[in-house]
Amino acid sequence: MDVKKKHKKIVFLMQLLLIIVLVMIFVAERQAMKAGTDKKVITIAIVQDDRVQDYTTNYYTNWLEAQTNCSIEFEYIPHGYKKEYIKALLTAEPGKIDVVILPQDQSIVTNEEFLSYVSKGLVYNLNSLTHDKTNYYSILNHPGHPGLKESLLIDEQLYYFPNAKTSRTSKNFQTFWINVKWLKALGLEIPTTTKELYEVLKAFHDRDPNGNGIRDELPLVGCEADYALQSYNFLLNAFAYNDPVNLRFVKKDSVSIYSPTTDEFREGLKYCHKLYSENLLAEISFSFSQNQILETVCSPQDLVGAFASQSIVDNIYANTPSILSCYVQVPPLIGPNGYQNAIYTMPKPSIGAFIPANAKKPVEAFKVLDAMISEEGALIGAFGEYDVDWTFSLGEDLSLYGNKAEIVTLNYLKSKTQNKNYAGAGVRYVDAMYVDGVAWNGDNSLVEFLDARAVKVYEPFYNRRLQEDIRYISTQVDEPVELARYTDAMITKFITGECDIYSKDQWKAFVERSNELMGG
Amino acid sequence: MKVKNIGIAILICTALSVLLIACTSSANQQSTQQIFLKDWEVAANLDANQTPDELYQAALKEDILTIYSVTTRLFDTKKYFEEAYPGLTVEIKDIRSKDAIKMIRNNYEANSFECDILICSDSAGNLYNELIEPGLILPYVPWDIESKIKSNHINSKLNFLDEVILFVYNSARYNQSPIANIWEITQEQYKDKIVMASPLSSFSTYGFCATVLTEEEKMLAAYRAYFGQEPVLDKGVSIGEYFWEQAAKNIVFVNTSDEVAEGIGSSGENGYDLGIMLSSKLRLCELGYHFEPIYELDPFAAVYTPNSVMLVAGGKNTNSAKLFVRFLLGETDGTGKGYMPFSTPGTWSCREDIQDGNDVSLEDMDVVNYANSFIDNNTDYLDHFFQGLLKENIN
Repeated sequence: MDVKKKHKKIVFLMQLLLIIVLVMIFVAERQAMKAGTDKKVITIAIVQDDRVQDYTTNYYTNWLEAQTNCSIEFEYIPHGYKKEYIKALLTAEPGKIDVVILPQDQSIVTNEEFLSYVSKGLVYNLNSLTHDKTNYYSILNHPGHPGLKESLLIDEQLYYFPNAKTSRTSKNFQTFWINVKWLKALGLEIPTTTKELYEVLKAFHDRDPNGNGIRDELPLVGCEADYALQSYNFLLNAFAYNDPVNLRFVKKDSVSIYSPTTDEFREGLKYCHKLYSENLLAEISFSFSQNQILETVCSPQDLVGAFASQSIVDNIYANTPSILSCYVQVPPLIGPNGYQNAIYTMPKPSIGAFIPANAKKPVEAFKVLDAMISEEGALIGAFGEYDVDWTFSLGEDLSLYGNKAEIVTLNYLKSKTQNKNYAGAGVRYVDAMYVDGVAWNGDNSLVEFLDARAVKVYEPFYNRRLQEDIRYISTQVDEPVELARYTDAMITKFITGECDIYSKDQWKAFVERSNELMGG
Repeated sequence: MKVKNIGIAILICTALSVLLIACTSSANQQSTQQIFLKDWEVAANLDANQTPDELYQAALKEDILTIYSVTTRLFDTKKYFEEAYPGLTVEIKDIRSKDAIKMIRNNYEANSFECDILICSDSAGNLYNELIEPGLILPYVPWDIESKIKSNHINSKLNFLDEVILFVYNSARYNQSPIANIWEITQEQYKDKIVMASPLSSFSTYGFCATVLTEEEKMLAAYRAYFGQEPVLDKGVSIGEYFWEQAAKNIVFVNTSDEVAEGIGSSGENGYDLGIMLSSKLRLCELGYHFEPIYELDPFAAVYTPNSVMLVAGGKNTNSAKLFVRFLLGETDGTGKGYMPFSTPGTWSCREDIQDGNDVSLEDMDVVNYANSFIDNNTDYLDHFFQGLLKENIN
């Protein structure tokens, strides 16, 4: 009887306990829902990248939400109408986008367009939000980042978060790559002088190095899309100082000289014209887009002998190890007067993200972007999840550049489909210590590894001090943009023969017009 | 009380069941994998006398052949193979031995047999422990080529190409080797003038460094010959350890032998004075790199480091893999194009009927065998020693 009573009692108590637990769960859930509704929803416009599985469930998104107590939603910028979409979202009333994130290597908003948006008041001014407690303020005012703040200001105001390239590779203006398979096929050596290069290119042209019995070889290609892709910029550096990013000024005996108007530069142009006129510098260099050049270099017909670029991946697909293994860097060439030069460059950060002026929640939007630029955010953005995709080196690993590594990748995310970050899009400022301190992952065809090897060959030829001076000089010119445009166009004309590099009159006219634009 | 006991009993039973299920599941998985590998080996029929044409016809029904390789020269072999056997495609993952071994091990544990062939350096301790001993990779020696393979090249591995890790000097700066004794590289004059791959990045270099540690008598004799006195060693420090501790202060470490070649041979007199690298990089001299091998050095100039080609057990494209191995070995009579990319300076053939790529034979060099069993049995010690060495000496 007692046992029965006891059982009843236990059953009653258990029922009571169950009810209490259920009530507690209900209350907790309500509270969580309430807390959830307290979170501000931030809408980000972004271009979908095939390498990112799902932006909503992405590890980076979850981390940003946790850091900022915001809920992040995405609007995808349509691929066919990127520019139109951006323009429309900036002028929409009321605005529904709080943040615009731009892709890393694809400018869907040019600097000119952005300046135009700023001048029309369509972009949110970040100055008032960038106070000394923010990550962005710390980075801008860090003594280790000289010139960064100035490079980001527009009329003394901040309008965007940067996507900055900070690696040693990004500071090496240009590398010249040559097809070693062709050299081996013809029994030739890597050229060291402009004279030897001419002989090599001639052999590439005449002796069928791809072995198909057809004279289809393109000994040297370039591309007008970017200074670093213009192979003649590399060649000219064997004749005279040629830094197109900083207007091509040079300082000799404390006097600033405009390099393109010197006799040495003219000799370089004659050399380039000779290559062009003998079909050694391919005609397509002046008409093909970067994508067309990339397709040509990667063609299964094996058509290209040499090209110039900052990274080898600018002209070769990253996932083609057999093609990547065909090209090796050529050290800076020695010109007829013994001149040999490589250009150190300071890449201007591109626009990583900005807040439209019509954003409803600019303060929260700023918090999200500021979290992205924090050290932790930057490392996730670059390498993924800590201890899963990467970890800190214990000190015995070598980086790609041969110095002590800081980061060891456990799961190398680049070029992979992943759900850990936005594949390089958006705000990015990874300290050079980390970017240059990534341990090699053992892949011989890894683009970063090939680039790092090239950089180590080029770095001894930088003249950093001279370049600092020139950067200053280039800011003192009357018409810098017009001068650059004019010189760029004339270089092309002299090389292709549209203007005669041997004509005294035409050269004189070029020098005089250049002097005018300099304000001389 | 009774109810309480019943509850506890149920809980214990449940926990035990879960544990038992987990253990059984793991054991079952292992056993299933072992059975699968055994079945694969039987089905692969590695001793069969198949002709190239029979293999080709069977290979045409298979998928893309996947190879993990440490050598970029294999891209040329791939090209010739695809020309010789239209319809077959080869995909090469060009990675270092360490990562290839790890990937095959991971594939096995994930039950994903995506690699068909492994080509890697033999001088890594964990190749045997991780892959050969558990049966994850196997040698395939074509029946009509076996008799032409040099002795000692077929054992638990098929060594298809001989190389050495050796000293080279900058020939733009020196007309002849500036050193005659290995201990000279510990001298102050060579501070930052010697370049070598990190033993933790390059397996061949790992083998070289480990072998130096085992050749105690030779290293001691060379020390006495050079310094004319006995070394003063701290307690517990071997002569080999002492050598590396001193030499590492002068060495600039890089990741690969390619970087050694670039560092010493592509910058004229400004390059490094000395390098330690894979002998197959001597082929880069044809492209104008200026370095020369050192064949004579007291007590030795080089450490033997063969390369192996192995089938990966469980691979889905067995016929393609067998056909590729035949092709790589130069086919029956050794005249096939597959071996040609490997007949270059700094290499020695595995076949009696194929001439060595190097004009100086291994017998005419001061070369020692790599410390195979020492490496196999002392991986933890070696890893720890090299980690310490690098921590101290890289900037």
